[in-house]
Amino acid sequence: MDEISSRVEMVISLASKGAVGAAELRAAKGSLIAAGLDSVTILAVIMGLESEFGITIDMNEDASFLMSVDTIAAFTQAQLD
Amino acid sequence: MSTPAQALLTPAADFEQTPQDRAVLARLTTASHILYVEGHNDFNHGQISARRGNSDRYWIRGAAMGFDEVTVDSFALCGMDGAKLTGTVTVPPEWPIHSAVYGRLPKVNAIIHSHAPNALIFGARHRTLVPLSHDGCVFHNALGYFDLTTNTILDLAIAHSMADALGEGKAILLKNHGLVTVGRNIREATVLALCLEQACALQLRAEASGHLSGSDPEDTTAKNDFIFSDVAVSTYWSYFERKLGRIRSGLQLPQYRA
Repeated sequence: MDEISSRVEMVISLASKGAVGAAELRAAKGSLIAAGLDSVTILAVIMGLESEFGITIDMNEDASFLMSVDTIAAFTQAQLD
Repeated sequence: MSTPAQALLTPAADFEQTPQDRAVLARLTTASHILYVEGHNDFNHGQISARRGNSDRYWIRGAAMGFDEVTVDSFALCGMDGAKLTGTVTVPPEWPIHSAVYGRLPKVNAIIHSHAPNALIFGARHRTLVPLSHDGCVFHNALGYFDLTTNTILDLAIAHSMADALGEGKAILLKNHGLVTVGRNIREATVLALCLEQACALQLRAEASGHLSGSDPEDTTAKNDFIFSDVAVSTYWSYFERKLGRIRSGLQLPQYRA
């Protein structure tokens, strides 16, 4: 797993107050919904991504990248390039 | 050959904004307008800035313009030495505030400095900000005070003294000058600025009434965990963004704030 994916997992764990950690995410094949995250926690994930990576996420744009750890990591990498 | 003045005003030819740059500049613009609507403007202006990714460069609003006048073209990309890397505006002379904080606090990604009136009056004297309202609780043990000078902060040595006084806090009051808030993202820094101005306004009123009583430490901690969770801050930002949208489209009058 690359560094960005690890940091994304950490953001998700913090946003869910530890309820969804790396083990739960891997069991759910990275899917946020399958791992049990609800819409409120996903809001916290968005704030956490902005804080962790110093990026801005426009919620009026396509939010389909929020599907899984892999799609979030790819989106984040693209923002940092 | 360009003159030094022209060089200051001319963006670097090889710099091209990324989609992420454009997203940051759009949000900084929205934040500037929210700050204006919520009473943070004055003719001496202050600044807003945001770190570019995890780098040692940051976007900062240009000098000599009001928060209400900001557009996505009102920002310069600045290095830690205050040098402009791109942008058509002049880097504001208080860039050292931003460089000093970004340089020592890698988790800080956004900074606001304003001369909001209630924070300025409250901060004219060093005293405790009582957790009188929800807004006040977020600054419990997280509010610094700087009184080395009341002047504009124009050099890095003074700015580092200010950063010393800020410590790991969320905000600092500058004696007879204004406020600085720091956030992990633009939304957080903006909401903190609005909260600090409101908390100072309410305490000034409470002091005038002769009745000043704050939340106990247990409640203050609980409020920090719930009322100022990331999700909550995200919803506060969304509210201010919707309100700004209504004002921009003429559906709501701006409220009078003093």
